[in-house]
Amino acid sequence: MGCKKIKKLILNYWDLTDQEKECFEEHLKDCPSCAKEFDFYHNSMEMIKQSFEFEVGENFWERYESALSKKLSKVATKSLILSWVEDFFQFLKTPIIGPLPTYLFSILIVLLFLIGLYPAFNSKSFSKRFENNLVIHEGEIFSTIDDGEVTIYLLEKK
Amino acid sequence: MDFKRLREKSELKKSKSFDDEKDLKEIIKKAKKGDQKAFQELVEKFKAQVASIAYKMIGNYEDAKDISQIVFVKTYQNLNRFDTSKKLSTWLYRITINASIDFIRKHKKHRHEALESVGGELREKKSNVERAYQRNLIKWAIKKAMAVLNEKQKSVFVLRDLEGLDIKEVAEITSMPQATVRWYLHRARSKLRDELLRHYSGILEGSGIKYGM
Repeated sequence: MGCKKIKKLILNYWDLTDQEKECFEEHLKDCPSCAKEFDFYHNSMEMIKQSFEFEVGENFWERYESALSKKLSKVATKSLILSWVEDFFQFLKTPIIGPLPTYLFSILIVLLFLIGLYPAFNSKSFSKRFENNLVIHEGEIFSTIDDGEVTIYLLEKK
Repeated sequence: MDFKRLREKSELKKSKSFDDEKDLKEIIKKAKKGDQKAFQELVEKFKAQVASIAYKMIGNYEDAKDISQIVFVKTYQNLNRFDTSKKLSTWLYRITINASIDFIRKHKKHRHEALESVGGELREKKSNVERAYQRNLIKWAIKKAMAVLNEKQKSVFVLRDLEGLDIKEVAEITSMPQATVRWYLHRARSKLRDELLRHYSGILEGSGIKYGM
């Protein structure tokens, strides 16, 4: 291998196959220029590795477990609630009448209920009946209509 | 250069297998069933490794500790989805790398690298002060130089060159093809070398590292 190729391989020495490494090393033995370059890179790498060596004392891990278990219990509560919600929706999705899922069935029931109530809310007699107040005067029943200024009493059946 | 020693060193690192897979699978199964003790065992087994990777990505011990906790919370949340036929360490390291990248993105604007703990080192004996200062200076230069790497370059560099994982595992962790990992590695190494040469060669020379003839 020539210097040009070797210089390209300097950065990737650690990824070379054993055979490639041997060729590489052979070249470096006779080529001080490439050897110096390799030395610089190798020494820099060693320095980088040392700088990022993870060296911590026992006190680094103090309260680590307790802080983590606090975070985990928060997450556990959240995921419990989430799983309940998920279970609920899962339940809603389970078919009860043939292929009809529960939630569609429920929506259908609610719709039918609302349709059934619609005429009752829309009826005028319905509201009028409750606007009238019944008054009992000397044994007779009167109903009152409050019409702004004048109050009219209408005699009802005894 | 003693190449024999260099190779022995790398073989030693390779043989340092982190997880005894058989025992680990049992612990994972228990943890999946909700066994808190088993999960604690997993934390105990991997916390140093996870924090170490986070430290190499971030360059700060306290942040690395926080990230490692985030990693274990995420692991706890997603443990049921973990495929036990795969290596747990690969999965954990992937979460660690992603959490570290998230952290870097979040704190990019407010972060300014400082010469860490020089004050602390100055409290050492007078004779050690100069050496401690030099050590910190190199650390600072290297951290500054590392800042030129992008997320992918940094991830593969940390996993391969600083953690000593093999390329295949780095590819699995980063979900990239091996050829892409090699490409990012090459880019990271050459960028780092150029950055050190361009701006920090004086500092490196102070500790006996010289470039060229």
